[in-house]
Amino acid sequence: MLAVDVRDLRVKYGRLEAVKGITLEIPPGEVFGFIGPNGAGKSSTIRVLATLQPKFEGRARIMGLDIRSKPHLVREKIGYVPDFFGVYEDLTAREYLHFFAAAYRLPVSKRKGVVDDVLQLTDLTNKIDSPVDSLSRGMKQRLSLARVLLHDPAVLLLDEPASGLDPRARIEMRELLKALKEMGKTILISSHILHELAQLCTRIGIIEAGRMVTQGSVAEIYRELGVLKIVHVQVANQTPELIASLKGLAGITQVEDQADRISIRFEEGSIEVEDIHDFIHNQGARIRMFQPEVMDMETAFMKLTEGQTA
Amino acid sequence: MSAPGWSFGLPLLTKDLIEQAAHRRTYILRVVYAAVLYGAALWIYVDISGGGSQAEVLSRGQGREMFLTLVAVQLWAVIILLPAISSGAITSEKERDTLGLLLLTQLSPTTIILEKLISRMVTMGTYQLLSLPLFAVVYGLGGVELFEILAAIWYLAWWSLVIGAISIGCSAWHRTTAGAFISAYAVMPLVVCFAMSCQSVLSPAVAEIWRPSGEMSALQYFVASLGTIVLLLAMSVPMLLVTWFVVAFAQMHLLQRAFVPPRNLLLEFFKGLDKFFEDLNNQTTSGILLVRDIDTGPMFDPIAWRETRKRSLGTVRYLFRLLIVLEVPLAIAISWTVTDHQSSSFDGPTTFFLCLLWPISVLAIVVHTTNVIFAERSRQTLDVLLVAPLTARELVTQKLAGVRRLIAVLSVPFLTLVIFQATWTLYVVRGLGLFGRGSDNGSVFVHEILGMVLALIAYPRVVQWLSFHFALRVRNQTQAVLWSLVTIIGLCGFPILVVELVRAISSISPHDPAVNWILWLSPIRVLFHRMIVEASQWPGSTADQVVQDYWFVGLTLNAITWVGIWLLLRLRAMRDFSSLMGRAEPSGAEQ
Repeated sequence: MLAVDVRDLRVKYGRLEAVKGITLEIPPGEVFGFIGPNGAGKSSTIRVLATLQPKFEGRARIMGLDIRSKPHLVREKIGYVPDFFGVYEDLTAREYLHFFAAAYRLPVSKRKGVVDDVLQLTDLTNKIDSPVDSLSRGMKQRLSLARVLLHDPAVLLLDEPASGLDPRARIEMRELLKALKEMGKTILISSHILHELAQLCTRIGIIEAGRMVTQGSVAEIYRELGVLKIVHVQVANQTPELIASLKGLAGITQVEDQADRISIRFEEGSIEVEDIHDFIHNQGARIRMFQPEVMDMETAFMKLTEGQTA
Repeated sequence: MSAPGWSFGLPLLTKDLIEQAAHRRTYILRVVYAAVLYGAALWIYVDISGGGSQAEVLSRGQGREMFLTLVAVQLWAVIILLPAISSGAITSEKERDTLGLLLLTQLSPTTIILEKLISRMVTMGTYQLLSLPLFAVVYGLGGVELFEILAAIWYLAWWSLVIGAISIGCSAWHRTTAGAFISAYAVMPLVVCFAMSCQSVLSPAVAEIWRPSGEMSALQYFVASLGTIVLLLAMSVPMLLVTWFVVAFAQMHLLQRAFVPPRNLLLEFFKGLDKFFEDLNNQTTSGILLVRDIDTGPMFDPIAWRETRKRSLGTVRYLFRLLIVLEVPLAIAISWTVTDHQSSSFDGPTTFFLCLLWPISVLAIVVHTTNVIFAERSRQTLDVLLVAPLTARELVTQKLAGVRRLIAVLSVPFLTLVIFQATWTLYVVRGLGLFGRGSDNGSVFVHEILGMVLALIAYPRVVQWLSFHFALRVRNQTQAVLWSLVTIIGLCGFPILVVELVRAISSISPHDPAVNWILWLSPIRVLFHRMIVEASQWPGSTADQVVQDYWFVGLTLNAITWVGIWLLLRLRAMRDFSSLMGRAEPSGAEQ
């Protein structure tokens, strides 16, 4: 049974189609990173899974429960952290957690123990009687995570949990998510902090303009994107003729004349890096730098997306 | 292509006009306003024409009645609409965090205030322009001098400016639009009274010049006209002073109060009250507590717990003290009535208190109920609440726990008042025993008690569910409060309007049972039953039998209607809550 099973999901806001047929399968225990530019449809997809977007087309299931027909049961299986804090600032941390413990109908006898446990996990024990509005942004975000852990949900839906946090708070958040991963939680997390997702996620999906551009393990994505190679070249005597002749070379897809270098893109297998080096040398250019690049996640993201919104 | 406003250096005015033009409600309100204005004019025209030909109507010179009605409608429109349009002028910038950006530009606080004021004046002006064709008709009908029409337009423009300035001043002071809106209505009567009392000194002189006796020569007419203009200008001086004062106040406080944090004034009031009573208790009893509040935390109904414990009207202490705050002025009003030995209590201080308490209670319930939703929205806590495994019914019922408590507290002074008025009327004023001689007076007592029980059970709950209905459907709290108040006024006034319409177009008798039953549908008829009965018993009144005869059927009809509206609104709120909040609910078969 899949923890998250989404088939051909479509979400419309009036005439705007925010999500255009996304399919997603996340087995239990997996940490799935959802990457995409602003307005790509990440939050809309997560809101469908959080039962907060009743109008959608396609199929969406959490732990085998259909969101359309059994949203009340789905709510017991999920923990949702929106892309804002969602905390009552007139309560203390203790009152806040007891409030949601009651809302999630935890037995009264167990509440104190569970609240203490989640506070310890999120390292907020010493803030238990502090008013929520006195907590830092990082602490508020950890308190939000503590909230969703109260009822021990199988699936965590985290919409940009590191958004707006300082570097220390981000690192703390990442460590907390690693701990949750070790606890066997299925996590669907959206973020712009790509390298953090690369370290944390077992699989990632890149979404743009409402469509899933690609998805797979981090290694698979690297492998897939490694096909698109790039070589950065600096020559001492660069001429327009050199650029023109490079553009005419078989197998080369793009040549960019940048301020300090020439960036040459080519498909894997169409030409060898060594052949490009020889070609430039044979054109009489004196090579100062020749650097084939392995793309990182951020480059992959930029390569795969064009910053389009739905 | 640049907008004209930018080139004239009025960027804020241009932006506000574009924003207002982009709102659908601008056009809806304008159409509704035009319908009311032209409807009123048509009604009066039909009334004064009396079935005669057009030539006959024109020959009678009966335009004055229509003229006065048009001016009255426009004045009421200014009083009702302008604070609604203007109160959000600056608070909306605060709510969107854009006021700071405006203050960083080259626009001075005075420019910001004036451009905001002008933008609202332009909007109100478009409403008032709608009446120009009607003024032409009025002039054509005769009975009105051209100067009077011009003076009325002048007068309306000044009142618009004064009320607009007050609303902008309140908007500069307050953090939220709802606060500015309520303050504008609280401040408006004071400022208006000041300006009117200044004008009342000058108005007799104006009236004398307007209506000189006997025939006038052309020169006399010219001198009189000139004098009228001078006096009109003189009468505008108090309004000019008021406007200048309010604009200066707004300009002074714009920067000072640009970044004030949002405040829960009701909660702060209760906290102040709490401190006062605690100090009093410490001084008088050295801090003895008879009832100790114990907060067990959110055990089973967490949302209801937060609504009642963590917000205003939480603890037993608070409730008791609120009751004292409400009951003390009432006790003063009652003792005033008792010591004054008035022959009738209905025009005394207790009735004044009753008339004051109903609008205050309605406003308190509307604001409190709408805040239940908008506080969650502004804190962005709604989503986390909606994903909790609670049913829509549980969410709604628990969210409204604080409102229910407020209604219960507000009921106490009402009951106190009713019991006092009824017993005072029966035992003291009339010198009768309960259900003794004069069965009419005994029945009035029963009518009053039953009517008030109905009123206290049904009306506050209709107000609550109606406000909740709008809170779910509209985008901001001010709109929800406004729509709620307008609908409540409409529901109360609708039966009266229907009766007036029926009587205008047919020869039906005011004693007709149908007319009285329709009137009984309005809460106003129930709330002021005793006053109507007492008025009917004045010498020469012919309505005595009418008001007494239809009481039972009328009250039953009223009860069925308002309890029906209450239950219908409740049902719809429970049913529509999830879909309006964007929360999935179980539907058909699994796909």
